Amino acid sequence: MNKKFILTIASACALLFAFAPAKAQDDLSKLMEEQTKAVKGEPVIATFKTTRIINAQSVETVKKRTLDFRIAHRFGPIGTNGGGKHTLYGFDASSDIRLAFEYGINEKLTVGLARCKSRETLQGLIKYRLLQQTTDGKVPLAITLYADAGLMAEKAPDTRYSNYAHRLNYCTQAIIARKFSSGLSLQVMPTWVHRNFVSYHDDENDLLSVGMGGRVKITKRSAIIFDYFQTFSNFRKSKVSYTYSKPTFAPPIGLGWEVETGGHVFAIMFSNSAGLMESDFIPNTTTKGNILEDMRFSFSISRNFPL
Amino acid sequence: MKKNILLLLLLAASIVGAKAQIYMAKNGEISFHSDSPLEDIDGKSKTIMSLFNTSSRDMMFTAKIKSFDFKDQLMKEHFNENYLESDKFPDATYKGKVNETIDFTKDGAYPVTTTGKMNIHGVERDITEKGTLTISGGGKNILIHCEMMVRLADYKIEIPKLVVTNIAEVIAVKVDIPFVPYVKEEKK
Repeated sequence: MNKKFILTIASACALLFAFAPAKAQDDLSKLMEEQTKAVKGEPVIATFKTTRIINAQSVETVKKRTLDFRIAHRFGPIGTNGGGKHTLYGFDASSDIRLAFEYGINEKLTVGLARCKSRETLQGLIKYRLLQQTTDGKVPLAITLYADAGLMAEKAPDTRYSNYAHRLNYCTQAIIARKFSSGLSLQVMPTWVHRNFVSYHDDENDLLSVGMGGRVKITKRSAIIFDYFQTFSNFRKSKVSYTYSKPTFAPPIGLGWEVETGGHVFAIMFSNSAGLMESDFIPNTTTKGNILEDMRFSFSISRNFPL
Repeated sequence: MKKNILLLLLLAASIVGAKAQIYMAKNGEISFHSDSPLEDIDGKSKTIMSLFNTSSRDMMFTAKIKSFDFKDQLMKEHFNENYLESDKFPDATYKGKVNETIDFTKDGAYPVTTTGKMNIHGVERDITEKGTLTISGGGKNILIHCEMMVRLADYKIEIPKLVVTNIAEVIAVKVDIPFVPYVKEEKK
């Protein structure tokens, strides 16, 4: 009886021995799981590939100590008013060209200088990352604040710049974004544009609008991008105007495809806005009635130089 | 009869003696270097979580892809977004075994080999690598050092043709893990 008991114990021990190595690795794996689980959430990166979507600013700022040199072209309308085959569907009639140097002072703060063809505007901009989304969901959103000031440096076409302050306009914006997955990012942008000078005397100097933008990745390095701004303006909404030449205003829409190759981000886009700055495309986008013919071809190149 | 009991006791004692002696490192370092005609790329993480069982000689580590730092942030973004796809594959892991029997109480540097499964970018491969195991402080500290070459194509890390001159096909990887005995943390 005793012998049997001892034998059972002994064989049990032998069995234990046989399984010990396998068990040891399982224990180690379990311990590893415990230890790595405790790691807290990390910041969500690359909500957008670059600091712009199409017309809109994206939630991204320029990387620390990096200079982002940006070139953007907006051509003439494809169909209506100056489009068609005589301008090669707008290619001959570029409506705006923007050259910009934007520098990341640190991960959060970006400053930039730009020059636009439209009214020869010189622009200074500042962008600050207020809140960064985290992977553990504790911070579900990213928020970036944006502001710019533009100086229209063109020769006065009429009496409009009798006061120097007429040349200035401003844009202030909050960009609220969320990267839902590696493939989908969306953002909303409450925006306030102030222009010291407006062309129509019943137009508003202050305009409030809300923008929306997003990105859907189609491959690791390319994505479909889109943005849209809805402006709240009685002048734009009303059919009545004291100005007989008042055009029909339209919300700026953009749709494009962006691709990244090393340090470049290249985007090919269509938009119905003629301008490339917030204080231009938000108040000044108009339509001739057919949104497809209003569309303009556009491209942008962003090249990053680590300094 | 008495003999048998003695045997049993001995057996039990040996089990207790062989009770897993676990070593841990939270600050292991992994660095890599890509050498190409256009640019050198260096990445380094100093927060590699690693475990080592000296009785079974099982060893494993987990490297968070996002913990790798680079000289500029754009490289880090590309590393995560375009190459290692850290949203899909957040960790690189190794689970293996040191092949040689070593007396872990004796100080010294031992050339060792390790065989196991490496998982990078969601691709698991069986590998055997050479390294050095250094014991100091009478078995209190165990340092594992290993240098290996990793072929990106083996782990399905694609390099687009446009940047093929910027990134090496084979990356030199250096692993340094300073183990200390694992002490179970008290739950508060």
